[in-house]
Amino acid sequence: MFKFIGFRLLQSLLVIFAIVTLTFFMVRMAPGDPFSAERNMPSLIKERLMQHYGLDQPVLVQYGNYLSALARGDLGPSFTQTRSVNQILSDTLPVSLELGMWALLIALCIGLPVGIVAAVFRNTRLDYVPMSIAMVGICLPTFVLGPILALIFGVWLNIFNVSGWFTAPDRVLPALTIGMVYAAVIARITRGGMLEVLNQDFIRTAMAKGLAFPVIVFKHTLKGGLLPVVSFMGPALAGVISGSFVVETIFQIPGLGREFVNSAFNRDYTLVLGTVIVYATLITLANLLVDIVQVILNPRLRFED
Amino acid sequence: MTNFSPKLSPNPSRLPVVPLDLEHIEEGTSLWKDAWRRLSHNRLALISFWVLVGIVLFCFLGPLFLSYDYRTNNLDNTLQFPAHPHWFGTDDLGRDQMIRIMKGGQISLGVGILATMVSLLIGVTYGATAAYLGGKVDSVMMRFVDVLYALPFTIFVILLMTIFERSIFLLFLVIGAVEWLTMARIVRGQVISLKRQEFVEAAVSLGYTRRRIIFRHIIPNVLGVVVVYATLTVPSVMLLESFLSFLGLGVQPPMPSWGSLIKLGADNIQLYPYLLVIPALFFSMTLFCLNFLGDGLRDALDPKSSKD
Repeated sequence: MFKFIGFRLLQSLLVIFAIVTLTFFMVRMAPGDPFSAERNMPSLIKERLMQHYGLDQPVLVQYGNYLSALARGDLGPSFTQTRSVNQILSDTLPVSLELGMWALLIALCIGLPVGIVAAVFRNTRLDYVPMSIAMVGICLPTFVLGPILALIFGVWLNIFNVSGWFTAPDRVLPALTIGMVYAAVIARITRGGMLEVLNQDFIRTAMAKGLAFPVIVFKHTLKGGLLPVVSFMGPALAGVISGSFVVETIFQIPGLGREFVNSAFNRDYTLVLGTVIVYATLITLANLLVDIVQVILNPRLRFED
Repeated sequence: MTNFSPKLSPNPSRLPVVPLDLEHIEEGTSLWKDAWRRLSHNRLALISFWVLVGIVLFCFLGPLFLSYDYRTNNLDNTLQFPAHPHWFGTDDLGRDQMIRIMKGGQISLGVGILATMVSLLIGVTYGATAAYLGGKVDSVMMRFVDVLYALPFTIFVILLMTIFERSIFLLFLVIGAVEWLTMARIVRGQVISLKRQEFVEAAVSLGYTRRRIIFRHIIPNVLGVVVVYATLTVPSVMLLESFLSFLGLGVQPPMPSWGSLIKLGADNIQLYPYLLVIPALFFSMTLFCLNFLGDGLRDALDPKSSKD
């Protein structure tokens, strides 16, 4: 088990390193520079700026400098803001993490019960109705659902603010926007996983023994039935992150997603790299965690490698 | 048709002539005939199909009946609510919203279909090659796909679209390059399982040429699954395109896309909700229908893999 975790940890580090390298060279390959947005900048000033940020050096030297600073935990200065990248990240990351947490919580709290009920009462109205709604939910992307929720609950019913991130109710609409889509996906996955286990022989045995039905569902079926949901949590996190790009723009939330999109627009090299490193680390760690939990839940996987 | 009569009745003049009942000969059924029968019983999929046809006709033929242009500003006539003569209203620059929705639909549907073709081409070639070569090559190739799956792709797509000059062509390429992974996996799995099946063995033992086996036996069987997943890829491609256009990274103005129209609506929900509701309705309807049609096609063409 420890060997497995160690191996996967090493693999994750390699993936993160590869992403950093790829992003670094992709951003440098781009035409234009961070200062091309400022029109009529005297060439001397521009030269000085380039020199100041080390952008006049060969790309490989820049790469080396960046890596050595990164090893010290220094992500460099932002090219377009007065704050350093570390400062920006520590300001915006907690906001996005909070948003993501609420979204995942909503997704799980709605998706799991609905999926379990649909599987247990298969082919009844308790199955058809929620699953049809889930189908609709899957087709509604965040950038359609978000504005529509804002229109209904913010403008027409006037319950929530249309934008901002100040009070607790401000969390509701953004988190719902991201969470609903994943609630629908999780409901479908849960239903599939539960059905697969419910059809197996040991469940029939348990039924034949006369065990109470809730015991069968919660004690025998749940552990195996939720395995697909666990493996979905990795992609779900990646999806929540890309959802945050849109949602933070719609609801004017000062989070990392908005910062990433803006920095990509402004060619703020260091900020782009900083955000990508954070995202890559988050996603890779989530995938690692998912793999470990899967092995714990499903002992059969332990003997495969 | 085989000619029965001479051998079956050695002396036709003495035996009563029984006319061959051609009407009731059991006709062999094919994969596609079965699929059509199953599909035509699926009312949801059929309705979806016709709604889609309607939306496509609206977007591609509709502009012929409108005298407006999607990029000519009319600043005396901005932000008009839906009414005669602008049935969907006008946008912030006074352009007729209906023609913009048609044009945006052309872009969104066009990108959806073309980028799906790109992903189809890469995915089918890659998956079939991996399955055909098998062994070590196969496992290395599929390992590579696994690694790509783990990458945060939206982030790279956003990076690519910001770094390079934004063009529709790049949009096709980027989206197609992202979406081929699933197709490669599916095709590989199909080809591998087909290679081992009895009817292929039978064809081999009958001495058919390899070309005939590939074209008559393998490809038609893979085709069904490919068609199904292509139908399901179109909506996810359209989603990605609109996502990018919403962020301002997709097609560039004055060219509209459903994503950028929704963005304009989202920015103006307080005062001009019609700018959001109508394009969102078109976009969601199209996604619903494509998904329902895809599900229906999957049940029809590939009953084994359909979800319970």
